[in-house]
Amino acid sequence: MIRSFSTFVLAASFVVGLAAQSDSQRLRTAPWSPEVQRAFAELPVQDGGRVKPLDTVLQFALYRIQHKRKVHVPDEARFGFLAKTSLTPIEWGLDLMLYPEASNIVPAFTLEDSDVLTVIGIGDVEKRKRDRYSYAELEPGIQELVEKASEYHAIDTKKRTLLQGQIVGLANAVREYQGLSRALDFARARYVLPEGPVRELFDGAVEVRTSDVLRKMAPLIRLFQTERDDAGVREFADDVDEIVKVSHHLAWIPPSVDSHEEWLSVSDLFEMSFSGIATGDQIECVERFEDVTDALGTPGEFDAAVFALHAKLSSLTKARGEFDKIPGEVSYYRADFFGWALVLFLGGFVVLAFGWLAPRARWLATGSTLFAWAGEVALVWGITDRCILRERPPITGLYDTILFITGIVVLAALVQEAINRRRIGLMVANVLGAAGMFLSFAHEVSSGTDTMDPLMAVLDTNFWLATHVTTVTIGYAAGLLAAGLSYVFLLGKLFGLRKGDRAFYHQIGRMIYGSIGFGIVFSTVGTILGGVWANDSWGRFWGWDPKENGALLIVLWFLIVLHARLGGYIRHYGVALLSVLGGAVVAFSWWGVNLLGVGLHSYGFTSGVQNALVAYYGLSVLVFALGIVAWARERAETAAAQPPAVS
Amino acid sequence: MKQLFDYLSSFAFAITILAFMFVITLVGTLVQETQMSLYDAQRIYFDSWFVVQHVWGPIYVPLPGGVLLMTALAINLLFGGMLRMKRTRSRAGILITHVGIAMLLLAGLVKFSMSYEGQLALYEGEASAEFQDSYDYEIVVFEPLANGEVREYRVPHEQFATLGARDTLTVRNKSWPFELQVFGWMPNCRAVPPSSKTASALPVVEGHTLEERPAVLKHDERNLPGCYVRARIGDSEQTGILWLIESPPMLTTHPWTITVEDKQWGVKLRRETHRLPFEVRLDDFRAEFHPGVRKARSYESWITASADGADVKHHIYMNAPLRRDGFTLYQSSWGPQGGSERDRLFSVFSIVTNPADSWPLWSCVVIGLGMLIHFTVMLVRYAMREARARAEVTS
Repeated sequence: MIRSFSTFVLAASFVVGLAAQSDSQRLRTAPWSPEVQRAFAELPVQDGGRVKPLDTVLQFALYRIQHKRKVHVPDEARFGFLAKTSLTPIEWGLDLMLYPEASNIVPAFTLEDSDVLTVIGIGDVEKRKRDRYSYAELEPGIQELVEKASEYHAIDTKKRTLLQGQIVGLANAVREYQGLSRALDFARARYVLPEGPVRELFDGAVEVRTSDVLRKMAPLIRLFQTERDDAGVREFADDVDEIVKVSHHLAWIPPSVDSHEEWLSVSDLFEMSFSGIATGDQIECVERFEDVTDALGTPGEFDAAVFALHAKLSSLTKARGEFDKIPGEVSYYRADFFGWALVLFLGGFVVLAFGWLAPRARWLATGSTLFAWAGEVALVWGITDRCILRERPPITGLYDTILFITGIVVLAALVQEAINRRRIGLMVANVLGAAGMFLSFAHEVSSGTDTMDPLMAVLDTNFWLATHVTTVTIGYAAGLLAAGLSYVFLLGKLFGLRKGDRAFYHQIGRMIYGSIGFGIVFSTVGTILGGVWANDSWGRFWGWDPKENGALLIVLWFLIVLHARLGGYIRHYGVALLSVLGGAVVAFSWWGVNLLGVGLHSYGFTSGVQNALVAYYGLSVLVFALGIVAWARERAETAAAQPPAVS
Repeated sequence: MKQLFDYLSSFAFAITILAFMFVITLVGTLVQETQMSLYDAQRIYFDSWFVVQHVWGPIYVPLPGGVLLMTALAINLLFGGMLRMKRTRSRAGILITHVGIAMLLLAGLVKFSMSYEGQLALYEGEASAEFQDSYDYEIVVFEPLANGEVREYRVPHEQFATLGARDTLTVRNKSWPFELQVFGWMPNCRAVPPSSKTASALPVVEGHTLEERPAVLKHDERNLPGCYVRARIGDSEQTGILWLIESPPMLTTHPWTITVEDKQWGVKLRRETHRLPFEVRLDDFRAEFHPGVRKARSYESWITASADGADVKHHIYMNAPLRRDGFTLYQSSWGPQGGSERDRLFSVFSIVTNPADSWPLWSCVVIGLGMLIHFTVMLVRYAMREARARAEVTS
């Protein structure tokens, strides 16, 4: 989103001055075959500093544009075959690139606040406050959107109002959509050659393709310079210029020189061709794209053209040693490990809930345990797959921490369950497992940032990522597990669950205490290891910066709880009460310190996180207060039950 | 006396200290959001004995500072966590942990009292054995000697950096034919032609006066301080302005000169300067970015360290500093901004000296070991108790 707003493509008509193909103007009438989807998904593209599958590029583009994982097409006749379907990112992307004009009626944009429409001058569109819009609906307001966004872009992000932030966000989404929808214009383009020197240069051909133009770029440039007064030549030069302008969005042509790391867009290829640098291989890639758009609508030929395109690009990428992880990454996203984990944890919880209705049916508890373990396997499998694909330890960013923490919490809760078999750990495992998976989806979609992009220089150390980051994150997990168990303890007491069953609560109390013990080891060692890393890399052990302080706060909180317990100042109730607040301390360290410096008017992801965080702090205080009420009530009941003293 | 010992070694005292540490750490973190720089937060909350915290409106609350809390923690740890604690086998892990924490506190004390840090910026091909302090300034008087060398007299940071707007510091030296007065110290200012915005009470020197600017809270390094100096020579006096100018790679300033009996003396404000026991020459610097984006992949410097006629080549990059003769040189930044391989680049090294450099690692090992022993024992006991309880229920 760094590119200047001047790069906006405002033209609504496609392939200006060129002969366009009619296929782009109607929606498709049959599903994309799985093989075609797979081949397109595996097309390599350089984006965000790495070579990744087109599938990943489209997935995160969709998150940024629509804030959802799929595009749901309404049940309306005008959508024809697509009506009432849910499009995956690759299906949506194929439609957008291959049927760009027709796809403009598909509602692919989500607006959080319909006031944005009023600001860009199309407030008469009747929708709900938060709703989905098609490009065709937004199109009349795009000129105004560009102007407003340019104005608001100059305002510091911290000082933008929510509405201003949403306008900048929508402008970015529209630009990305336009870039994708015109990504294959170069392949569809047919340049009608004017009579005269241009046609002579192409041996009398009347119409040529982009690949033909690229092959003749050097003599063409000379022609453009010498025959600039010829109207036909000028018109042809404008046609070429139009394609150059709209073909910069995807860098999917591998460079011909091994030492060059930057991949090329077709716009770049044109620039290189001016000096005759583009190689036959690169122009052949363009030809394969052209074959695909040419064959659209002819199933057998289309499939063959797609496979030929895949073969060409993958062979060039393999030769550079950049293809080996691409099929694996596509498979990783297709496998949807975390989606499965979510389903299994939810299933485990539902089965356990039935178990509460029929306490003697032990097989329900066994079933719930199997669900929870299956969910944990899916989760760990997904994390492991990410490690293999990235050749990194499990945690390199915030998204990874969600997965890892959930994995540790579930594992620790299931181990506790295996030891005491009270179904407390089982319930916590399923509930927190599902919550963690929900959080991971919400984070992935709302941030809209590829979670496998390369690391910045300072984090490029697998040793410290594997030691400090992993241990300190296990500490977070333990704190959250203690908080989760404490919720069960306090709310159970409040609502009279298993009233009078002291052993039950005694058991939960010990589980909470055990979690804190588990947490203090990892938090302390992890925090100190962070200092050792800082000392090793920057020559200072401790700098009192927010992230370091956040980790220290968790250690201090754990120490307060442990010393208060050891000193006899608190018992199970007190430990549970403090652990609920400890969960808020973990949340502050995990998410809160990352938001320091972010103003109240920030847009999108950070404001969403801030709201969720404030809600969690509020919940923690509420449960703490309710816990106090339950404790006071229990004390009063105990005092009332005591026989009067005999004087 | 016993009561005092009992309290200082008690859990109550430990909990109080930890609770105050929690509060200080939380407040010292939150103020970094909008109110002050990391350096100021560190100085006010963590490197202090007491803090007076503004809560709301006219309400202020005194709080113990980081130094006081660390001292109290050390006492409590020694008395309660080592001397008074029952030394049983089951508590061996806790004792080991406490020893590790004591080592860590000691490392902190050594770092706090003996460490200093600064920066060295070099263009490719340049060499230097001096580096500038990260935080402190000094005013230096230069005396040209007959043999062509220059003698330096330094006025340290703490003598003038706390001066108020109307305070004056007078510095004398028996070797000087003048008395030097420093006044009008401003932590962040610019030298500008006098206008309605500048204070009329301040002198105008060669058409310029100092205009105070609000301190940059979040980024201390962006503050450019300045002050006035007056040399009194008998009945006459000469006034000058000293101020720092941002001139990448480092801050710079031009000396103000005083002429006494045809001899020129120089006076300069600069970052406090430290010497390295070896000279560093930057042979090459490379900054690499991930393809297609401006996200840094690596910054790397190739240097030659020279001392006593011996040259040693080193390669410094992120997470791989050079440790030599008690100093650590790590890759900090580079420039000019947006520069490429075609430009002449400079590399900036942060330099730290800390005698307790490796102590935290050892304390981490000891603490980790202690905790592992303790909580493993606890876990095994818990599991055995549960197994026994289940066996009793079954039977």
